Amino acid sequence: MNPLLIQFLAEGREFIQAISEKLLALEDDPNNSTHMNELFRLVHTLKGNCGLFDFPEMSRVLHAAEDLMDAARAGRVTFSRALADQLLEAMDFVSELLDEISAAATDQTPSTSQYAARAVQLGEALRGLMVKDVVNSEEVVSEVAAEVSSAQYAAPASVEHVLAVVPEAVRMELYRRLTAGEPLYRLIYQPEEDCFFKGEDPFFQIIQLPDVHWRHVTTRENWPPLTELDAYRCILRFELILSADAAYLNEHFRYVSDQIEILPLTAAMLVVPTGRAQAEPMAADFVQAAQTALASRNYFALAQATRTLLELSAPNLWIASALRWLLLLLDLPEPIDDGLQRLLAGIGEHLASQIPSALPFAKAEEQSPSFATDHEKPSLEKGGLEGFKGFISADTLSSAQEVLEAQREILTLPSTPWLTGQLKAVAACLTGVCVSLGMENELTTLQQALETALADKTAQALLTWLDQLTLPSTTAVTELPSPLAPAASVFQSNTSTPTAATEPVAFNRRAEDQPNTPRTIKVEQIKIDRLMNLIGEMVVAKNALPYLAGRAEDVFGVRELSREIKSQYSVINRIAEEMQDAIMQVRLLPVSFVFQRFPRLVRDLAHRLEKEVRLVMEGEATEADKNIIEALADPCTSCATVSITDWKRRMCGVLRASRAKGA
Amino acid sequence: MKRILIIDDAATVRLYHRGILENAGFTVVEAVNGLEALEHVANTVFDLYLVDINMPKLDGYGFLRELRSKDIPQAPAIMVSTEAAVNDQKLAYASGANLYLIKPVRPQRLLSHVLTLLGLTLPNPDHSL
Repeated sequence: MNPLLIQFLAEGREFIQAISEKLLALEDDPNNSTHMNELFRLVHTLKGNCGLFDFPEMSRVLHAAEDLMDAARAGRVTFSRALADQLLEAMDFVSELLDEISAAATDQTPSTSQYAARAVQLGEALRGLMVKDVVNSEEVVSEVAAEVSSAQYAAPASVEHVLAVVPEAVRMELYRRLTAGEPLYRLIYQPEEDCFFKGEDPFFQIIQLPDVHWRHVTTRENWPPLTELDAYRCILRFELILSADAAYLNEHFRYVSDQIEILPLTAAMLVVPTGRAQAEPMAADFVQAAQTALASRNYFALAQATRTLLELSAPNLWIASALRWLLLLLDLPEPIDDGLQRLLAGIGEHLASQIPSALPFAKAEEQSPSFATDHEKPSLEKGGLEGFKGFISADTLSSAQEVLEAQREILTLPSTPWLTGQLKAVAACLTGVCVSLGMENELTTLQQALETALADKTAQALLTWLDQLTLPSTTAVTELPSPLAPAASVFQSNTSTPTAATEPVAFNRRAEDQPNTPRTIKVEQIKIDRLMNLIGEMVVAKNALPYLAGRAEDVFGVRELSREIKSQYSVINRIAEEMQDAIMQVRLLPVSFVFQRFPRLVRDLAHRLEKEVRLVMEGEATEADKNIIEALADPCTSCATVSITDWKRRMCGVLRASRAKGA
Repeated sequence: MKRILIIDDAATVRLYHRGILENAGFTVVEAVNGLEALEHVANTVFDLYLVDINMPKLDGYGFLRELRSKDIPQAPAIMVSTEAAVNDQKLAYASGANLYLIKPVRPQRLLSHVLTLLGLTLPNPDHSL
């Protein structure tokens, strides 16, 4: 298994444990903002970690959990038992997924895709908690709607996927309506299983709704075989997109308000290119040209380029769909740069995922002066490096533009107390950009601008310098030799010359030499056990020394040697005892290792039996050997269980007994 | 030899970023929160910072403000976040970040930004074999 995944799994389990603990702590003290923030941070970080891998089910659930926690943290949703239940269930699911992933990585069993349905369900349940609270109060609805429209392009990923089933033409029409200012909602109606017996008619409810733009009926679970089908059990799920307002919808569904979900729709959610993925050789150049056109706000050129590529692409491809969206966005009265940028970046990433590329970072080389000036090098390498140096890759250029844009934004921000440091950092970035683009001649003016800015204590001088800076145009870049030739020659030269080949190895070694050892390390238990066995053997072996000393005196009559052996023995004895003590310390664990499962156990059990139970734990810091702790886990757990379920016993007594055993 | 400080409380993220940067030949130092990062800054000169936002003890914004208030050679800082929120980006820039990237950052994208900020170039990995 790859080390990153191992790390993720281990850390993920720790996070889930910590999240459960925090949730339980919050239940006792729902207004504790420290706990709340910490909980949000944990969920947020776990989601972030998950994003490094392709686990869509986990991401979906965690994303929903994070949004819910964010809402709870901001006070938009009140922290309740139901919320904690739902989050705990979500964490159980994530932990199940982690188990599945670690099993799959070792046994090559099928992936986590069978969990998809549950992930959707959980995600929606979590979001449902948010929405229910929102729909209850109309003030909040408008507040949220305003927030959504201000952050129009920060659509949650899970919603995007859901909307991909809506035909593209419909979505485009909806997009036009939304940007024209018409509010749209996505309604999900899941009637109860026995709704037919309550006189409800879900289908009638749905067809009566006005202003519906799109309707979709699915089932909550797969249809059972016809012989087992219970026609009176409703498992339908209706999904609609409509423009009726929330108040009207609440009135319409007032008898089944707990079975509907109303979500405001934003324009960005609709922009989901769909279609067959296939690498499009022309598209890479297009993305670059398009980004340049966008940076200079040349919408006409962008539209022109988009139309040309669209004509060349098969209409059922993903890329064609993305291009159609691009045209639609460009067609708006006021094109939104942010949205265009996002779509272009999406196309870029889609392309990158289509080109199978091993990332050859290991051969990366700094543009060190020693290489440029060294004339003794073989000609092949020299030629290669020169070709490499002259070439500005599309990546560098787009990254440089992004960096420059960011620095411009930073410089226009209001002044801060740490302005000096900020200006210096910006200047450092600008220096980097200039050097990487081969524009070293600009550096003197940059330095002057920085000094002026520092003296004036404003960013103005640097802004002026930035404004006069002209980047190498894209035409200049495209006229440069094909990227393949110089890049390939560099790598050939790196592998064929010993000097270049040893360079990266040296880097790695020096990197490890860093005096940066983490404060705790994780070691497999088997290694510690081995160490422990060896120390045990040594303790036994050292006990032979006094016997040896006795023999030296009695048999060989060398009293002097005997004394020396004895004094040496006392030294070895002391070291051995300390070693034994040290290794025992390593194996010691606090009993809280066992106790930490109690709060959840007690909570769930008490909840199920509808009993009021208060759990008091003391002396958790007591330490004992890992084996003993592990052996204690099951008896302690059953003690706790019995003390709750068996009402006749004196609960405290039993728990105290288990505590005594633990300590 | 360029030295980069990664500040993130999530070990997985640190490992991920470390892998990308060390493969490219950079020296990488890690810190688990802003306070620990400041300790490193006091002893070592770094050429670039890779900063997470949400961290215990001292978060990314706080770290950057402290860093930029110091009278030391200032190096570029990239803030890495899971939020695409406009406000977070503004706050990051105001605190002293030079670039704001959304997690997970693709290796190629991270590397091209790091190289640009440090004034280095690398052939486009997409086109090489």
